[in-house]
Amino acid sequence: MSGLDKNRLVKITSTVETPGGPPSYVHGTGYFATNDLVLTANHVLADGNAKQISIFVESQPSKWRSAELQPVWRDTELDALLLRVDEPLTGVKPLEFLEPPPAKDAGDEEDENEDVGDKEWRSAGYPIAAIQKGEGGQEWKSIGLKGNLYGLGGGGQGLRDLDLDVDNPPAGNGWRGISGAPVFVDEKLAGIIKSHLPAFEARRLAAVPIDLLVRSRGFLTSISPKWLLPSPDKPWCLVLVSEAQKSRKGELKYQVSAAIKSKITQAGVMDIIEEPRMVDITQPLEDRARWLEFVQAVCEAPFMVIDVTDFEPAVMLMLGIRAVVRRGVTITTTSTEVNERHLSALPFNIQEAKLISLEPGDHEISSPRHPVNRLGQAILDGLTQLADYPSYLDLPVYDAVRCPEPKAMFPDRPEGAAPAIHSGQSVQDTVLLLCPFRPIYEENRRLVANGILTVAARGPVRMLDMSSPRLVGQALYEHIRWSRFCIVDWTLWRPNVFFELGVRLACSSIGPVSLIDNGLADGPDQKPQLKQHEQLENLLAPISYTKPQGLAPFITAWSSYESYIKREREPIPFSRLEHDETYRSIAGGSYYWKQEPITRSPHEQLLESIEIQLGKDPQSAGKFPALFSSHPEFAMELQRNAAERGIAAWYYFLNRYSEEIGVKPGVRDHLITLGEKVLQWLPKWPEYKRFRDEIDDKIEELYSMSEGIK
Amino acid sequence: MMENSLEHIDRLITRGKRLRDRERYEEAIGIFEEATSLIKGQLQSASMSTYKFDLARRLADSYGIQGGCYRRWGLAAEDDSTRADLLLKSIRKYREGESVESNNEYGIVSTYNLLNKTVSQILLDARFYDDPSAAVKYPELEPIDARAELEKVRKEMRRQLHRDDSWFLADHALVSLLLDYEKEDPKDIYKEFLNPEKIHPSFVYDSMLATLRALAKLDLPMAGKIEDVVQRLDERYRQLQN
Repeated sequence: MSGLDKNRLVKITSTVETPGGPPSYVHGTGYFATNDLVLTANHVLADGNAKQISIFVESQPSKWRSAELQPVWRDTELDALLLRVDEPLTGVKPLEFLEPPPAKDAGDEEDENEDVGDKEWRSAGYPIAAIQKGEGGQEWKSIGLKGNLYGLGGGGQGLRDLDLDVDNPPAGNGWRGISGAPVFVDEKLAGIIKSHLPAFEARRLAAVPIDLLVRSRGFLTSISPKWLLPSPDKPWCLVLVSEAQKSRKGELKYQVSAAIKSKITQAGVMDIIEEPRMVDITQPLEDRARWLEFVQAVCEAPFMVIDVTDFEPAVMLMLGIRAVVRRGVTITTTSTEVNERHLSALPFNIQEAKLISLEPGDHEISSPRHPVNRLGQAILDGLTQLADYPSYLDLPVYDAVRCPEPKAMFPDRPEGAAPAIHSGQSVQDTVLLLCPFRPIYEENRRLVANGILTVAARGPVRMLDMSSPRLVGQALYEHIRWSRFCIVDWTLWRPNVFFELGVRLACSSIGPVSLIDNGLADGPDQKPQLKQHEQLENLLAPISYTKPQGLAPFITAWSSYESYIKREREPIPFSRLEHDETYRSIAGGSYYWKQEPITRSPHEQLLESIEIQLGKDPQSAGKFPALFSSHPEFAMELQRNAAERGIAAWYYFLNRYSEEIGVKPGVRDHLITLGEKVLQWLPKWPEYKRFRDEIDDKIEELYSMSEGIK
Repeated sequence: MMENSLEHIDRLITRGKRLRDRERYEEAIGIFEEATSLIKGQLQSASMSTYKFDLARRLADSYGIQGGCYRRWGLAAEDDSTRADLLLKSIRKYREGESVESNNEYGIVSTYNLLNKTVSQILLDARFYDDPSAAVKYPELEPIDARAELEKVRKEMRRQLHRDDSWFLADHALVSLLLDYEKEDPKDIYKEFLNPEKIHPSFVYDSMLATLRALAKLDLPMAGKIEDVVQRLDERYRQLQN
């Protein structure tokens, strides 16, 4: 048990410098959440102006410690933060958190004798009221607190609080210093105190509920045991191993490492980390913290090798997430042979992807067909092509989910106007059903379709049901991104469905509603039960249904969806992911946004737009690679337009950074390189002579400037 | 964005080209040599792959650019001895490029260095065009039969007739012009290049006109035809600029 432990209680003093006067001090209480992280209220740090943070640990022989000024995690809205203490405690057990009461099911009836959730709470802290006079002056004393936590209080407007009353409250300003004190109910941490309510004669306190903290990615991953190391500065490789191939993890690690060495580092192509980071698929599924940590790694890894052997559902799901968050490089591998027969049986979503077989065969290591060479070549090609082609893709999805929100097909009608005759639905209003396409599933499909139609008054559609002539993949991913109501039927654990589930989790702020009929088996094709099945069910909690069942599962599905769009946070167990938690974690920090063209500087993008059409080195090729560039007028326009874009790029950078050119060598070097590139695109035509000369002279001036500084 | 080795090499070559265009040949060659040495270093450790091909292609190009740079420098020289010295260097660079180009291991399809080596030889001494014994004057050169070399280029080019890039069309016409087999009219030799429906990048005109103007000044049997071609190309280039 890890209940309120006085050894973990600390008094916090932050020293704040005041201009022209003596320093002032802000006092608060904290609690060791882990062996080296102290949880307290954000305002204890005095708006981030603290010059020093001292931590008094009552129970330890060396009582005073200091904390890093920069919090490990901070949320000003929640009013909470975590401080890292220089000297950790020993023997600290993991905290247990008070789970919020479960939400009522849609059909549950009101019970007038129902428990409203009042509980007794306990705490301890260092309020100013407890100061005593000692030999050395004032001495801060800890005091114990207890009272009642009201289940019905703390709601209303703004963030939810814990509504606490307290026995024996102090008078006046006596509460000062109590902020950050832990609130325990039984043995579990329920929250931290953040304020008192003066109008209640100091008898009432407000606390931050622990479930709001545990739902914060930063808090959760900070206090969870470290699993994946932070991303290194140099390019690195993340390898995801399927559950069935877990025993081959070491071999795959060797293969990837050897592939990187032989084709990239030893060949001097790029300075990258040779040893890949290996993860087997059941690891990130162990709990929410690991899931979020792994999603971050999936976003950050410059290249990833994903073992899709047997197309296990969780692997396909992660592949779907990766396809949304990175343009590349993602190499899909399988331990089985890949031939024409296998290719035609690949899941639809990755039929276009290049699947690399690592089946050893009897190839010598010197043979290009040896798995290490095949893999190395794929990584090398991926890395170089990603650098060369801005539109590089090795998985579907990336561009398709970035299409702008489609216009709703039927605009809102003016008040009083007659309703339009609808001949179809907009993408947003479509109820999208992602499900298996197998004859055995047909009866389930009808059941789900009818169930959803009954409760939502809209029938779900699959890609097969759509009449749009658009490319299937493009339309599918566009719907996955923009359909508000997306139902994913896990029944039969089909790879396609899980790939699409991953796409939805990553790209939509409205999570999918998952259903499953565990009673339906796939006959002889049925895959063995995997550990990941249970893990996925724990994390994502699909709604179970069976064929003779009534509408209850579909009513639950509809009410879940309604709570999603109304942004109502239904209380769910801490072990379960919220419907939009994956998306929030990506959008809230994990996403590697630097890969987006819009983030590039205008001059870089202008040059890139030339290179896409005309190649990087026009002189060497002796022709423009743009399709139909032999068309005389088009060819002339290509040359002229390339020149104009080059000129725009040059003058943009030159004027934008005019003040920095003289003082920053990096800016100067960049301008020189830019000018040299631009000159390649300026024909020696009279109209461009002035620009050629100006750029040329400026480059000379910049070189002289650099030489002069040296 | 991380800069890989190829990007670094390309940056050096672009830098060298600017210096070359400013006629600062010595500095340009210094940069090209730095790029060449980097490419050679990479090529030694590269295993068979598209990367190796990319490196080899850059190496052949880099030698070609150096050969061209020495040639421009030599043609601009004021005294004969400097001109000869620089043209000899040009020949050497093109020869190195040719050895990369013709190496089956790399699979490069190009006659750029081979042709330009021969052109530089003719520019060094017009007698090379039809008198291999002229090489006596240049002990470091092996006997040269420029016509035979041009024949070799023509034969090689027959296997590349699918190419439609401007360099190929220009080179193909130049070989026909220099071999002067059919006693064709220059406008027929350059028919394909001057096809009004084909627009070539301006740098192709710049490069071919520089070579043809230099050749037109030599005592070659087809000098008049070369002069004619120069006029036609000049006129076409001017039209394009307007």
